[in-house]
Amino acid sequence: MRYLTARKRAAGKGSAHHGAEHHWSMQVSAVGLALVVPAFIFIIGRALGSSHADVLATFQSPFVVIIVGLTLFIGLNHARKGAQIMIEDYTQGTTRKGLIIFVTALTYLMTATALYALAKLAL
Amino acid sequence: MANGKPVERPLSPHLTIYRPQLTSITSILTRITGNALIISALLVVWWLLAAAVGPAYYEVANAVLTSWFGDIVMSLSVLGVWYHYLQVCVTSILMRVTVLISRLQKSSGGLV
Repeated sequence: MRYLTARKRAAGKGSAHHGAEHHWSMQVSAVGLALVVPAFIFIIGRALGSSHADVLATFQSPFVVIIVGLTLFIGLNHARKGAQIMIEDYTQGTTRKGLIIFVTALTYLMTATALYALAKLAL
Repeated sequence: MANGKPVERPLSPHLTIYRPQLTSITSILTRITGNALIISALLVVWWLLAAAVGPAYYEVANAVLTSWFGDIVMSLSVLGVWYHYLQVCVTSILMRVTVLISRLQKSSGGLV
């Protein structure tokens, strides 16, 4: 028998087994996204379907490149942590670990690809 | 509780005994739209990569994203992103208002 109170045994045993840093990080990235997402939607919405030359011209603007880069960088980080919350709610054990690793790899791969594409388009 | 053995608890959404409410449905929709937006992001990143690679590859990605199927996916994406955006804004404002009202009630001794 371990001499722990019920309160002490429960501490840190939420579905994610740690405290509120994850939630706070989601709130911070949500506020950041709130500032950049509207501009991102209009930039991508306008550029979709235009000719390749027009897309190259659009991505010559520093404003466009920075907004798209910021949105994808913060957004994919937010998506990684958000997907992790869902995985932690619905799965356990090896499945949970595997899915979290998969989502982490996928979102970082997407971030790196987006930054590469933006750098190549802008420079 | 005092025997030190881990307790088998059910995972968070207790669906079999759950009574749906407006607040829970909007919350679940936030989760669904948020996670579905990863697919939209995947398409946009692919489209950006194609544009960076060259005109021939760009034509392929652009044709997929502006096909009838691409139009449906991107239209749902823009609805999803605005839903996710506004739901989180409205929820945080309502939470702050609720906290404020309860503080006012306490400090006024039940007058408000």
